[in-house]
Amino acid sequence: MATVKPVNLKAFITPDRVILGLEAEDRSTALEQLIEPLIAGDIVVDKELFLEDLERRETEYTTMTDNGIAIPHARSQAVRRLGISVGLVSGKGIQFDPESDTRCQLLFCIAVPAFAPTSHMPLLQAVAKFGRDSKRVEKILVSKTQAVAARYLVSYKG
Amino acid sequence: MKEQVQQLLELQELEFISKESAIVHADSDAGEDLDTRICKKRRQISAELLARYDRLTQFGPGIVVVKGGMCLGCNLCIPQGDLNRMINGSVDPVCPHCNRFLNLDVS
Repeated sequence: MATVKPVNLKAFITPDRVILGLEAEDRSTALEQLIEPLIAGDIVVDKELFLEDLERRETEYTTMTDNGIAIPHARSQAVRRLGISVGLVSGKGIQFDPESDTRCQLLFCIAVPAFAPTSHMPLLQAVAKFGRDSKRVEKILVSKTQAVAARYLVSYKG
Repeated sequence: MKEQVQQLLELQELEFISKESAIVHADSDAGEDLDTRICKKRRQISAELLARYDRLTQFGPGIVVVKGGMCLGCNLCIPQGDLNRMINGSVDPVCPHCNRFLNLDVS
């Protein structure tokens, strides 16, 4: 695995990029909701194109881990700059990967500009590391506000 | 050449996905299927181009995008005449400064 420099999550995760109580029946509905904060932040300029690229990336190889964390990401021409949104799922979770029985509780959606195809690697590594820490995941899932969830993620030093 | 660059682009995408999967699925043997696909793809590309691509990928992406006439591998401007010749296929799509392959479909 390539060694990448640690990233400062503070530069990427703000309360308005966090969705609390995300409700979705399937993957595409969840992805649609996760794209919204990125569109509002002027990171994604074409919702349909980015959604298509995310779905294509998922069919190549799933981004969901065994412990119910999904990190959908895609290089896309619809992306202006690197960005991330976070979704905390309410209820029993989402059937993110049709081939897996595990329900997804926490999602990180990373938008990667096509002109900087590897710019997301440090960010991906940081959130993947966070996702492997089950205690931290449990704690963030009970966040009462977007600000609390964002602050908790930002304070994570990995 | 254009077809070969397209094959290289697909290879690069698979290699990126393999790296991403190694990060996301750190504890599992997730990449086996991807490794097989990468090997298959590499067999479709000429040895000469592949060697050049492998040399380039030691220092970042082997295929980069041109934005505003600038190669995003080395951040140097490519003369418009050269770009035109690359687009119409009379010259190989390669940056004259850093030698990286250029993906001219993304602007």
